[in-house]
Amino acid sequence: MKTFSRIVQVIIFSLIAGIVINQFHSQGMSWRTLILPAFSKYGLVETNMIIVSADSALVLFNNKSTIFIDVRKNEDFQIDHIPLAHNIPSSSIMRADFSDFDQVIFKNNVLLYDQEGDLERLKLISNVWPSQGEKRVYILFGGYLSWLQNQNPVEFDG
Amino acid sequence: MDKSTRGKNILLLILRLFFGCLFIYSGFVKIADPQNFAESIENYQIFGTWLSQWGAVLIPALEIVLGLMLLLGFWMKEALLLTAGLFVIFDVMVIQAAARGLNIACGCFSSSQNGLIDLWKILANSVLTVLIFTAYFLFPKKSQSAN
Repeated sequence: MKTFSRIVQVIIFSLIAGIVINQFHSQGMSWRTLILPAFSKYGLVETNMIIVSADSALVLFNNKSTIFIDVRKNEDFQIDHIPLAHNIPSSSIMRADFSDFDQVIFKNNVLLYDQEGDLERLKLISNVWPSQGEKRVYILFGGYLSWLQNQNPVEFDG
Repeated sequence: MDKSTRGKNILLLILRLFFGCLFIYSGFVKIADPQNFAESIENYQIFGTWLSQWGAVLIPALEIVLGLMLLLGFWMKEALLLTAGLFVIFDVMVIQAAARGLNIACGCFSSSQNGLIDLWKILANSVLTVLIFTAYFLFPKKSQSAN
């Protein structure tokens, strides 16, 4: 019993230490990424997230009412992406580090997409997304691959 | 103290120092890039994104704490048990990934995406697991309460 109690103490201490270190670490995980998904799972945190297909995304693209955010790594974004999309890698979003990005983005409806449409990751990202006001966060179902399969417009860099 | 007890104590000391240093090194390497380590955990396709994030928060800190406990000889029985438990978990994860044919980085002693899982990686991890269990069984059980 004593051994079990000590093991639990060590794990709890390490967990608290890990959370604290990550908050002060420039590459660390934001507490929002760790805590908010637990609440949103049970509807305790409201999210304006809407999952859309590549067809619906194309309508949003043509309306120009939504800013497209590519959350893939910069190297992938450099190869090709949806035209006019901004690249904010998911690692930056997980750290809740948005200081380097144009703040106008957060005052608009956004569509987040990754390579394959990893819904769990994108939902996590949408929880942390600092949208201002009642702005919507769309998620592209099937990711960039579904956009390509639909033969929607693509922009190549270089 | 007879020769055999002294030999056991020396072996235990060597193993403690080895695993202490190994865990502190491994913990610091992982803590330097938590996002990459979270990705490494997620690649095993056992835990989802969110749990992988928690794993990337807990495991490096736990490794550093356990490393320090092993080096300082604090709560030794618990430190050895937890270290052995961690190695068993790592082994199970690596072996199941290999069995499923996942072509992923181990992430065992670094947060990088290099160093794919292969037979050598499984063998190395198994040897380390055997060594940490050896250390646990060498630890004199009667002196536990003295710690």
